[in-house]
Amino acid sequence: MMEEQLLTVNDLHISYGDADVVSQVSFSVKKGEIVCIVGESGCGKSSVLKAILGLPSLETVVTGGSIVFEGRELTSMNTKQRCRLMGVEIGFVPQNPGSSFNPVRSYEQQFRETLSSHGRRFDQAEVLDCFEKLHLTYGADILKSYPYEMSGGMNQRIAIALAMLLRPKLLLCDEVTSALDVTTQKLVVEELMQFRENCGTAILFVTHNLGVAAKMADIIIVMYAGHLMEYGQSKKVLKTPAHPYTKCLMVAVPDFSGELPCGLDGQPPLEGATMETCAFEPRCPYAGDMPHKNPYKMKQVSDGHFSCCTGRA
Amino acid sequence: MVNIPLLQVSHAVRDYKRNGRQVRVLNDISLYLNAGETLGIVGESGSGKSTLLRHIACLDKLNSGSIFLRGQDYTGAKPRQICRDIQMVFQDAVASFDPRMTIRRSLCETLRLRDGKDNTDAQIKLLMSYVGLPEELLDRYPHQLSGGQCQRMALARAISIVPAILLCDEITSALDVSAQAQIVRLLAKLRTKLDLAIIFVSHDLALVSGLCDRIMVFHEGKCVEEGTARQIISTPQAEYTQRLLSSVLTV
Repeated sequence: MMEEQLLTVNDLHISYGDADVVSQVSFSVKKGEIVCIVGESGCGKSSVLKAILGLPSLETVVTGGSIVFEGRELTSMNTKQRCRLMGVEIGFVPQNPGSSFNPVRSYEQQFRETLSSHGRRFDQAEVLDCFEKLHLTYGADILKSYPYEMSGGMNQRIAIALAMLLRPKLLLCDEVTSALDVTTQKLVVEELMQFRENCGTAILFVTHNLGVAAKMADIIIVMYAGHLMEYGQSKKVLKTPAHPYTKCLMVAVPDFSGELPCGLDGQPPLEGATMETCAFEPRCPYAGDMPHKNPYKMKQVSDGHFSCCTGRA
Repeated sequence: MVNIPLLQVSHAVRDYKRNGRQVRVLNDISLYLNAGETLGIVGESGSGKSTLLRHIACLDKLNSGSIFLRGQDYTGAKPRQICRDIQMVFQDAVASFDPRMTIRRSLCETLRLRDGKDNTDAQIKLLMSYVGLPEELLDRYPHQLSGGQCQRMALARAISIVPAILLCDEITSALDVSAQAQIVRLLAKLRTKLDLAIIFVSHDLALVSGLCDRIMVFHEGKCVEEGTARQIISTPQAEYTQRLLSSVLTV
């Protein structure tokens, strides 16, 4: 079983200045598996991706735990070693690709540069084919264009195309469908699933929308205030959600029932939570008078399905 | 007596130039909105829905066609002439506030325009109770608020004028699903409390169907289907509406 694991994150702690933004996060991604991390804005899901990438953005620092990719410990690697992994082994599509492309160089120049720096050849037919799959028509015109000329949704799909061309073993996607309208969103989700089928790429996908996760995930991870709340096979988590927070996220997704979606009142805590009390308790519809003991200790709900709380209603 | 709608748009046409080519962004659009009604406009990016709202709010000029408020033609008026009746809320709430002003100052300025005097503390308190935000947030700058909080402040500013019509241009698209649900619930509450007529523009048909009485589906500058929310959801006629319906990812 162990050789199947592509990425193993164990007891990860990330801090931002003095405050912990991610604590005790452990999960793994198998080869060819789609894992979705779901949670509200600010729950630490993007920080986990940045830690795997090794991007020390602002003052985010990994303060503990390990990240193992194919038997290699990433946290102890230097920048050069990490750079060698990026792109071809671990691909990344950022939330805002408009700012990750160079605005004053054409896409063709940037595609050529990226592909050649990873030892790949620029094959225009292959690029256009990839564009076509993502419904980017007039691909040859796009290659001659500049990022500032494109809409957010188009830039997003061009960034996904570039990441796909490198055929990484693991693709990290940070809220890549959030800026897209529903028709394009569905298309991108289906194309990513097709990409997994064709190339066997594992995908770690961060989103706030459980509807998107329901469509594509094999495994769903629910995060809140920097902690894992629930973890398990997609079908089990969606059919029998154990954690009150997961239930709240599910009813927030709009559907065709004719009812308005229900949002949780209040805001998630901006900084990570202490270990003693459950960070979700102030907003929890099931919270009782008795505080939790060991609020973040994972309990098994069923085979392959874990939650740190099962509600007390 | 003939029933005159609160707002009426008739045969609106607007052309833009894109890359040297003439593009028809609004192609003969007509609509009406009754007092207290909520109209949803759905369609993908570039279908002309935001352009239409900008014209209703007099932020742009039509090539041809007319817009009426309570039967009066106001096509080509200045935004200031109609802002007491029609208010617009934008997708990017943070950018819609002056970054150098605290939220309190921005709200005070709007209230002063309405009343012509500086007697605003009690009114701001009332507004905050409407949108369900603590008053401490008033002394922050727009960038110091979360996306959802800032959008609530933008709604507070819009309703402070007590308009008859509220135009909402993709106001939840930049928010996560939880904040999005909070905003649509707030909108439903304000609608009842203030008897607002609302035009709610979004690309998410599921979201629109829960909030709106009537829905118009836009595609490439044209209205391809119009009906009650129930009709559009259960018996969509246009092929494009069916495609939009099947694109919604639910749990």
